[in-house]
Amino acid sequence: MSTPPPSHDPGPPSGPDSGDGVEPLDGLPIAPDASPNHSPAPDPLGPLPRVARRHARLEMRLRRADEALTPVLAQLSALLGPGVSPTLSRAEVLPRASGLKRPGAIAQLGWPRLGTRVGLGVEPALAHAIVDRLLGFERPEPEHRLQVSPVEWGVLGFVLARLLDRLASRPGALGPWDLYLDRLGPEPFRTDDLGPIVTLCWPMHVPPARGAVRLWVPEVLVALALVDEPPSPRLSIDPDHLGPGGRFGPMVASGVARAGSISPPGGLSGLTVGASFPIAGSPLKGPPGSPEGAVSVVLGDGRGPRRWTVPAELLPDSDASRLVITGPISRRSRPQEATPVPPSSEHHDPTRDPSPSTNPDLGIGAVPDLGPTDDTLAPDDIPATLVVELGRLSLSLARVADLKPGDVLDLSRTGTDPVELTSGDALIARGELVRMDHSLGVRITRVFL
Amino acid sequence: MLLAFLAFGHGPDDPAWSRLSTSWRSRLEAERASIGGRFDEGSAWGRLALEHKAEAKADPDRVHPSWYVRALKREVPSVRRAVAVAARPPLGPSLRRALGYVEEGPGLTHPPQRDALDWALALAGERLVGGPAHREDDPPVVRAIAALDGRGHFQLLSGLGLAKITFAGEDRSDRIRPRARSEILRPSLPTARLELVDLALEDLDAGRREAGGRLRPARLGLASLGRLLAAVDPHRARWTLQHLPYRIAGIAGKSMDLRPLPLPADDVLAWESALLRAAVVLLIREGRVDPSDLADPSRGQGGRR
Repeated sequence: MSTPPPSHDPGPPSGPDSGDGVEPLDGLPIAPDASPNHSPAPDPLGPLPRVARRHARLEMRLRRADEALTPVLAQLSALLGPGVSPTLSRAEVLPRASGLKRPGAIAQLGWPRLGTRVGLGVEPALAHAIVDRLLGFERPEPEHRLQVSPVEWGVLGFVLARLLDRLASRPGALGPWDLYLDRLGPEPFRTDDLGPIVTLCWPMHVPPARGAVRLWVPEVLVALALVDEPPSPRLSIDPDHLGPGGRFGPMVASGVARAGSISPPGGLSGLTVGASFPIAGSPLKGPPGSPEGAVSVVLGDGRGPRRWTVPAELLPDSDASRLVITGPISRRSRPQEATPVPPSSEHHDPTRDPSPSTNPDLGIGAVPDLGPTDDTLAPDDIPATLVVELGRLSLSLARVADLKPGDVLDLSRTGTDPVELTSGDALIARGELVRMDHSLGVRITRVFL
Repeated sequence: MLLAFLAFGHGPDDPAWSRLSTSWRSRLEAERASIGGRFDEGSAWGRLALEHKAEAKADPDRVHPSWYVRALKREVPSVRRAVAVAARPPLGPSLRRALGYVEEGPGLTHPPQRDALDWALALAGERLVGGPAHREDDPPVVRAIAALDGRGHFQLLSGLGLAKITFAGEDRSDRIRPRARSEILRPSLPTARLELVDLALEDLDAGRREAGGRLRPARLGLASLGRLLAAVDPHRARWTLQHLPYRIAGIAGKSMDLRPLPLPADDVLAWESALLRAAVVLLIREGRVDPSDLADPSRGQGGRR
């Protein structure tokens, strides 16, 4: 149905943050010609692919925007009724207009306050799943790919208007999300008068269908969105104080099922497509398409102290799509997870860097002294322990409060879906489970650095 | 969308209504006035569910097999053969004839994998559209095409062409039967207007050029059909064209652009509609069309070959 995008995208050569040489990452200037000796130093990141700083920042901003998307998902879930919990996976940022000609339901959203418009594309399988559910229609799987029909455009128009209404009053980087639905149909989104376009692509699961939702945004909006916004008030909800069906009933907590971590021996430079790594701390066994073993489910906000961890076990013969809770829910201030990697400056480890030159306020020409014995940053020095995420799920907060051992949860994946490798919640790579000796490992299929 | 707002929301009182652009809202308000209070929540849901089921995939009984042949020509031989063998009648035999599998026999070398075959059968009609056989707001041209079979389509298009020839005053045939048919048509024709007569004569000239000097009424009727479908919702127009052989539909499709016409599109459409009405009257008087089929094309064998 869809052609996967390339494993990484270096972005357009022009732009406010890109130059002729190596693009600096947030707070970590790495230009080779910035060495104090001005001698040709090897590129510390070796052959690793690059991403424009503004797109890396946008990815981080998007992770924060997950909070804004939660009520939208909750609204969609409420419309679809019980038994269907749509889930969104992490968005990919593509620095170009991608997938404009893909079939599906294409909406144009006007943003009069900002004098521009954005496009939204819902792939046919997802459009069918939403409308089929609302209209009580059962569609055989082979027909998920057929084109979207006029009745579906109408119903999706209503659904989208409802979601926009839910979003309209929420604050965002550009003020409230006061968007209007201009049109919805099969015609591609026209971008000719909008300048460069950035595509945000969310893999989405609306049972039983999977597909992608794409948002086409003028790059000028991306630049505006990257202006720092004041921190938005965060939900502070204690599951111990929630009751089933209480006032938090329709609210949704996203979660992720984790199955240990991998540590590429060569640091990030060893993270190449095709490389395989054992999963540390994972007792996952069985066939890669339907593994068994213990996992931990982390529920709650991706940042901050509010996270809840639940021990669980994958159900046999479930294609890794279902797990059963094996222990009580526990709270911890910060989960033990992989050491983060650039580009996020907030992950920098000051204990390894006594030099004042690593002050994040330093300019582009400054040189980080990240190694005790060498002037340059060797790839091996970059910590690269990545969390293996099997899949995501979405639960109402009332359900979270009610979780107990023996409960079965549906994971938003099937046995053939890729696993995600993350660090500090940043998506670093995707891979597939493979058999390695007596347990399972991960073979890298895409790298997003 | 208006029905969706009625079925799942609170109509124009729904808070989501304000998230539609102003122009869209005003269009929907006009439609709301036209449907009046005919729909409540339940009936709006029922209507949507019915149409959704009909639109979910193309009905092979209402698609000329040549559309499937064209779709399958891009597929690998194994897929072509599997679909031709497994498609249920009347599509299957038509495909086997068109794809040249009749001589070899319909068999496959080994049984197809069931899931793969289901996918192949579903995706063979991937680009075809579905729809209900009858919609209350269908214009007469859609009802007529949906109600008639292949022979009826030819008769309708011939009658339409003959109506245009008669309107242009070119019905000077020496043969008795065409003359008699023109006489039946004449009282039903629209009032002559100089610009429209000129347009009819231009159409006749174009028809002669395309047909190597001969005047073929059915060919003229195809141009009228294209113009009439230009005013129909594109999805419904495509559904209508699928009743005709793919090549014939392509010819009609060339006339669907009304911009090059020397007259306002509304005037031309009103004139072509009047010619269609005259042609239908002719066919009814000749006993070739059952008026009740036109009222509800889903009845009887309408649209089936």
